[in-house]
Amino acid sequence: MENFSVERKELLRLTKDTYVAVLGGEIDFKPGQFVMVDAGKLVRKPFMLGRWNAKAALSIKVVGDGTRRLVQSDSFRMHGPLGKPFKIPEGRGAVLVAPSGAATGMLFHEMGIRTVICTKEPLEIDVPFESVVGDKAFLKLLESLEGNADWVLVIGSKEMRKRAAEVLKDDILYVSLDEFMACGVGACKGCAVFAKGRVMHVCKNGPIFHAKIFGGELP
Amino acid sequence: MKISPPLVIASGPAGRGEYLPFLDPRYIGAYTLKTVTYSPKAGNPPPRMRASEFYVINRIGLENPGIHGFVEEIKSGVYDELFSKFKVIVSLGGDELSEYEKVAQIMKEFSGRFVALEFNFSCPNVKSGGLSVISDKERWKAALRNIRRTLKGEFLLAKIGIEGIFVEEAAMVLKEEGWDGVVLLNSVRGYHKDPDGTVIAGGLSGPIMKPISLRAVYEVRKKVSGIYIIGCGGVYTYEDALEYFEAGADAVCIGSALFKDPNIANEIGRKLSKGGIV
Repeated sequence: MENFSVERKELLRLTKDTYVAVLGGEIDFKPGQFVMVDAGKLVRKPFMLGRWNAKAALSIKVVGDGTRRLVQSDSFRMHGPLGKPFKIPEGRGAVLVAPSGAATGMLFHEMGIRTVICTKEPLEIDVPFESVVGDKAFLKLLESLEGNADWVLVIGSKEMRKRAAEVLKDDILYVSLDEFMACGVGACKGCAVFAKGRVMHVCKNGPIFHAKIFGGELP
Repeated sequence: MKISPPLVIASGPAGRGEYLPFLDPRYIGAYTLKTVTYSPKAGNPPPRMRASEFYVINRIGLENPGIHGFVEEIKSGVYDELFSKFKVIVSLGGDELSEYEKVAQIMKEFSGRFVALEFNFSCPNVKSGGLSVISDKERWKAALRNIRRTLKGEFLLAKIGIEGIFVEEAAMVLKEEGWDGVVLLNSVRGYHKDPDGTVIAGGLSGPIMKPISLRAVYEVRKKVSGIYIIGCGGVYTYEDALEYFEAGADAVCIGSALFKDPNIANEIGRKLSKGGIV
């Protein structure tokens, strides 16, 4: 865990508001880990680490001034890697990512795991893994996985997680949570979620959780 | 309390030592642990935090393992690395004043491990304890006296806010009861609403606090002599720290600035070390 600056080597536009920033230099991280990136605001913003073009990469969705500034930046100041690495379950798995998780999706794809990017609109560039476009296609994908996958990881919006939880049994579902974080290191206790009454922190116990621990009520 | 440089990592954002890998002990005077209360607290349900351009707002609710859990952590060596590298301040609290007295008793055995013991009389995010415990001034005075007696010889700090009592009045009471210093200020109650309607009613910290805390330091320094003052609120730069010293602080806290960049504390501490204030 370090506090460091890293150069941005390449910026690829995936959709009208989502980019992949390819980083210079190597970052030693494991699947599911993230970094807290300085976007010129009072609090750093978490981004899950991934890969693109054989380098470490982040997917960035522009949602405001900070993320707009980030995609225009030539270098990033960040601390990490943070979070509990995702221990890949046994059996047939599938990773479903929103465009904002594309770089993480690429990481899983390169590990030989079925990866599907789930978008509202067609991507502006080609990616070497599956994609589905639109809500209906996403729901159809979920239905196709029920009974045909041993585990499914969803890295996307709260709505995506909710729909996945409606279709898939919670013992095969894993979700990446995105509760507001301030420190990323477990100090501030800001990103708490409760699992059957037990307090957990997205930054330390996650960000990827087995849906089963929430007893049918995903945060 | 002798700390050098006069820079303290604030209770709350500092957690339970998680920032240790990012901080340079040469430039940090002391590290304050997150408040420990008599009973364990799970804290408030989410959402707990938000940030805007000028403030960070939180409603954590003093999540902590309770004093007995904390003692077990000390005994099992959880804080040994922190103790070996930094001077450490423990922050303590309770749901009622009798619990503050009990945690003082329990901590007596371990007080030598800490450069100071801070009692949090001002958390804005709990239903009982925190802000409410000072509402009965006579009872508060009695508790201060009891804690002072229990922790004889230890450096006692009180973290106070601007609600419930004027800071200079609180500082006067603390001085009269033999306490050594005040931490000014705890976060101030604020209200934040997201565009989607989510509301956080919590404690404000960050740049918005600086003029408020500076005034608190200024008033206490003017009216209460000989009390140690740690200024806390909106310190993001060396210049911010200097403003606190000019207003009368003996030391400054770094809190939410850690969220912007953990290295801010090292940078300010390094400049303070060079600047001849220590």
